[in-house]
Amino acid sequence: MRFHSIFFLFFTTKFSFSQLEFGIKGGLNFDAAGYIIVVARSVSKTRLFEGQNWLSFGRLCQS
Amino acid sequence: MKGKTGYHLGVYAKVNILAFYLRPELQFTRVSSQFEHQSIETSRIELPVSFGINMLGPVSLFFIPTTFFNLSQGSNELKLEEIQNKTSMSLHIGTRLKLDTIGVDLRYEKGLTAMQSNLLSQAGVPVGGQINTQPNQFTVGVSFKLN
Repeated sequence: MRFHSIFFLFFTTKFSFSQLEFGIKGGLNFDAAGYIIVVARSVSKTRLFEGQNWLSFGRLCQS
Repeated sequence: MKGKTGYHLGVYAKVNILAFYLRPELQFTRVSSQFEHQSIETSRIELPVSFGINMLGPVSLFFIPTTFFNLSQGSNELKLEEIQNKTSMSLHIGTRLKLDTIGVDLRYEKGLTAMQSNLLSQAGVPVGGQINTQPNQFTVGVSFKLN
């Protein structure tokens, strides 16, 4: 029984490693941008522009 | 928005099981996106585990659920807060040509979850907002078997 266990372990290990390969890899990503979505954008800054208080508030959804 | 080119470098292991194979990979990926004349650079560590089917001769088909860990996202003019969800998932599908020790693969990647980061300022002007990015790209990879 013990012999069978050792044999099974040896066999499966040898089989597994004989099937195993490893290496290095590299490459290029094209159109890597993916989707960039500005879900919401608000510019909230009070500016003095030609003597006027100027408040800009915007919301944009863009893909 | 215009897409730009990025690159990836890494290591892989492959276990053949009859007509199938499992191929876990670990790679560093850096991609660049262009948005409103601004370049947004994203770096991440990816862990794709491809399940492949050997087809005709050296050609195989594979699909890959990929987990990736976002390292950083930055831009020259846009100031972004750290990415909120560091870990994301994507799905690759592709084909691989294996010629002796060299393998060439072409794959399409589609992000399953969006990466969110808060916009803090643009050109020094404080702005509030949120940017969602989601991978949607083609990659060409070359692998070299070491053993």
